[in-house]
Amino acid sequence: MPSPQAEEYLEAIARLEERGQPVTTSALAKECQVSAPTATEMLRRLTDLGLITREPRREAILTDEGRKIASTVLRRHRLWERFLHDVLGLRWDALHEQACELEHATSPELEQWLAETVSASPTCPHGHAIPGVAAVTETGALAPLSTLQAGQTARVHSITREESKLLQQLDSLGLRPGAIVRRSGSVRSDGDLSLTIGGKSAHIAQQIADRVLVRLISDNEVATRVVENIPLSALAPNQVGTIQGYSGGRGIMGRCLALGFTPGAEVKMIRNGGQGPIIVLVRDTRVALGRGQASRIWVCRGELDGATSE
Amino acid sequence: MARQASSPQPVHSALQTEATEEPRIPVVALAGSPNVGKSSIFNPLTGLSQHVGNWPGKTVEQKTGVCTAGPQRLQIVDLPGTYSLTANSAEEQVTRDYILRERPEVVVAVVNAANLERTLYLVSELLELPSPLVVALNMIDVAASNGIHIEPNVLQSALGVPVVPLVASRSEGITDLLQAIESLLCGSFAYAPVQPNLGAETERLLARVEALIGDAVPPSYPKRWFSLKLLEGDQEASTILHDRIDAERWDQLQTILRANEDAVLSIASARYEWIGRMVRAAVVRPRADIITLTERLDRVATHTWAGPLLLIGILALVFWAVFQLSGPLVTLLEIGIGWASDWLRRVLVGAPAWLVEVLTEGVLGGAGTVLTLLPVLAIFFAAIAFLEDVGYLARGAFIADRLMHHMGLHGKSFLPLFLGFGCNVPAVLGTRILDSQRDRLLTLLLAPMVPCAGRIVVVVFVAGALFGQQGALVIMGLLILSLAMLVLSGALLNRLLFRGAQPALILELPLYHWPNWKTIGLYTWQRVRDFVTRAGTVILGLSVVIWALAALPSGQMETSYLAGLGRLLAPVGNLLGLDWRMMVALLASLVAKEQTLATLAVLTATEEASLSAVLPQMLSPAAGIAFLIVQMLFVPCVATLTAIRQESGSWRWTLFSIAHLATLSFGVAILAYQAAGLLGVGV
Repeated sequence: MPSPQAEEYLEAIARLEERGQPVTTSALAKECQVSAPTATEMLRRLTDLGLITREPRREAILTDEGRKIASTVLRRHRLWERFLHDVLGLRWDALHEQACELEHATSPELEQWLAETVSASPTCPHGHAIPGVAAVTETGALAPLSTLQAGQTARVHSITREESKLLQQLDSLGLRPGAIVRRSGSVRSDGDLSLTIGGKSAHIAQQIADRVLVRLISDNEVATRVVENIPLSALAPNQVGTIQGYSGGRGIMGRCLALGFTPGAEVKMIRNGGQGPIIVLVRDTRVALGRGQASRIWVCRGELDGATSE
Repeated sequence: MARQASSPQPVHSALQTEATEEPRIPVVALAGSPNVGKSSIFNPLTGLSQHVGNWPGKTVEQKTGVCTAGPQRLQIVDLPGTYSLTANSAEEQVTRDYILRERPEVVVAVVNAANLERTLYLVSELLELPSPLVVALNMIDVAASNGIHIEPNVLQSALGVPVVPLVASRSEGITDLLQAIESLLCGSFAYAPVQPNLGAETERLLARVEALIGDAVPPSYPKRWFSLKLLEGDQEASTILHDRIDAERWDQLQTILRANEDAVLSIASARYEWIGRMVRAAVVRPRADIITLTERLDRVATHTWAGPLLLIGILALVFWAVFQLSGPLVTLLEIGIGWASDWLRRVLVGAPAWLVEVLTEGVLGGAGTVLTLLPVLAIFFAAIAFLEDVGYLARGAFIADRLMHHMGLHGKSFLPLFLGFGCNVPAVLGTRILDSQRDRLLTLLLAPMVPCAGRIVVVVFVAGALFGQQGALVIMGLLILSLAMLVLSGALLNRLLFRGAQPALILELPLYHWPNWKTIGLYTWQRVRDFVTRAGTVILGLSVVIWALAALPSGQMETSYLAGLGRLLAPVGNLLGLDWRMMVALLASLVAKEQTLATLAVLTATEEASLSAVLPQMLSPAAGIAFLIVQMLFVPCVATLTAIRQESGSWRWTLFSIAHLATLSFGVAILAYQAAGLLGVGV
């Protein structure tokens, strides 16, 4: 097995590839936050181990062996991030450093156990796909948030840099994977972008917007599928929605909350005949709801992580 | 035993103070959401030592029992099934009041392994209360069959309280549960409960509220918990505080609460988030593509048109089984009663004649009425218990919801009303499962309109005697009429009494599972016992009174007080084509519906002809129909009336129900008879 240090470099190379950046010495040095000579030395050692090959233009490419190791480390890294975030409740800006330590001390058995524990999510909390976990394929190209045109709407896919300060800022703005963003106007005088994030207006600096990858949502989709909140009673059978809130007084809200209809909870429509009561699946429980009550619970179609399983 | 440092001293209730002379038997309370199999844990713990009663001042069933299986005797209290501890319903109030005021030594929180997240919600609330907790992880077999595997150890270390896996329906894990309870009682378990973190913002808000009202919180309530309930909009907490706090601070509090109306949402979300983290660590989830048994069965049971067909089929099957199976049993019982009556006459040869008559005609006659109903009810209750236990009944409620909406009710009311086909008494008592006072009252007023087994027995006999082959059609017609009247009354009462308000249905559909015969048997036994003690005693007593009224003062029926009463009603009877004897028979149905037949037999008895031969001579077809209509829709029996009085808690509503049904039954019958007269049909 290569040393933890070598693993870290292989992982960094895989990340650069994933983003479509050329794996040059300088790019790698920046990614690993080391000096260029250190990076050069490491690339040489990796080449000796047969884990990478170097092309004439001095760009590094992973060999089959190297790719296997890189993808294992990346998988462990992102599984750990999921676990630390979902199970232990760590803040999402503290995940990366912890996962970097843990990923090298993970046995295949532990990796398997982690995968089973967090099996519901195909990505890490920052939106990057976990290698080896079947993801829902989405269409449409990824682009930085900064390239969004005025009036366009997009869904946040992932955050390219996992730096604490950046992540803290994004978190306070609600810019997490799955969030819906709309560019509301042209560039402001201070160079910031005016945005609507999940219904709230905000503005962020260009450099920050560069770090957020989004996927454009067509106008058609905007109108019918994603952004608009609809009453639960309007969800079609087998459609999935995320609860946004309640309208029309407390009523039996207490009972609904206790049964798991909390904001952010996912619901799946089981039966909806257009008339009479409906049946929804919420937190593994099938619940029959009167139409009147269901029309007062508001949901957003689709899941938070952007995977629509329809 | 490690309790939370912040918890105040237990407040001893009157009950506890009385018991201080002797060492108190440790009390273990069972708490849990509906459908977690709480009773399947309660039953093996207590065996047949159960005592079923009511919580003081509440129409909520209270079950207690003594457990002698463990190292020491334990008093077991089964708390009502609740989803949360906010005072939304009487059940929730009973649960939290009991834990806060009586301070049971241990609370066993039962959770359903197949529905872990949702059933842990109550646990997240119970952790805020001072009594030590054991989590009983029930139905791990059902979870496993749905592909869910749970690590109890992980859950135990995450919660800091003992977690015991069980399959209570097979009595697996009961010994472990008793050991866990014992380990808390003797302090050998390092009890360190983890309280759910509600998020920085909520905690800050909570601290503010606590600081403002802290000294005004009654000593039996933990301050944090009480403040939390205020933020959740709990009416009871608010009322309690209002009397104990000055106006200025009250206004301050209201300002805080108004500004944070959404706190109830973030508190519930935070609890579920906390649970979610735990569950993700402790549970291996099934692959998403597994199609569960529940899913497959529900495709049919809740289908738009297959669902109602299935419901009708199941109900028809239940009725068929009830009448097929109970027939021979009833005959057996009747032979037994006849034998007992003969035996009494032989034994009491030297006794005064009136005593013999009271015992044979009054007491045995009354007992006979009760006993002949028993097989019908027992089979009916067993069928209901079976449907409930396997999980079908909630689907029936879902299917029935649309129909029930027409009468201003929702699907949940279907359950008690359906019980009414067996006997109206459990139907009235069954209205307890409904959440709102309004739903309860309306269902209560409609329950006596469901044709019970007693009414159907009379109708079948009379229709058979009068109409022969066409009897079945008449019976069908009467059933349809009485159900139509039920729907109509519901719609009307809803409009008049509740201004047409639409009720809200929220009903959990539990996972289907194999029936637990012990639970079904025990349920049936308790219902039947309840009927015998409640209806039985009333019917028996009143049978003697009726006998006395029919025999006094002269010993001749024709000149008795009862006949006098019947003659008073003759003018009403004339409108229906019924003579005084038929009116007396209808009045006798107040004792018990099938008493009508017994009374008619006594009143019309002749040496040469049986009742079925006499009836066609006494009644024209139109009068017969009128009689049957009244019998179907009339004021319910006394046992049902006392139940209505008890459940509604008011004489006004009881009298209202009597007036409503008396008017309706005679009104419809008079209309039918007069219409027949005008058309010249069947007179």
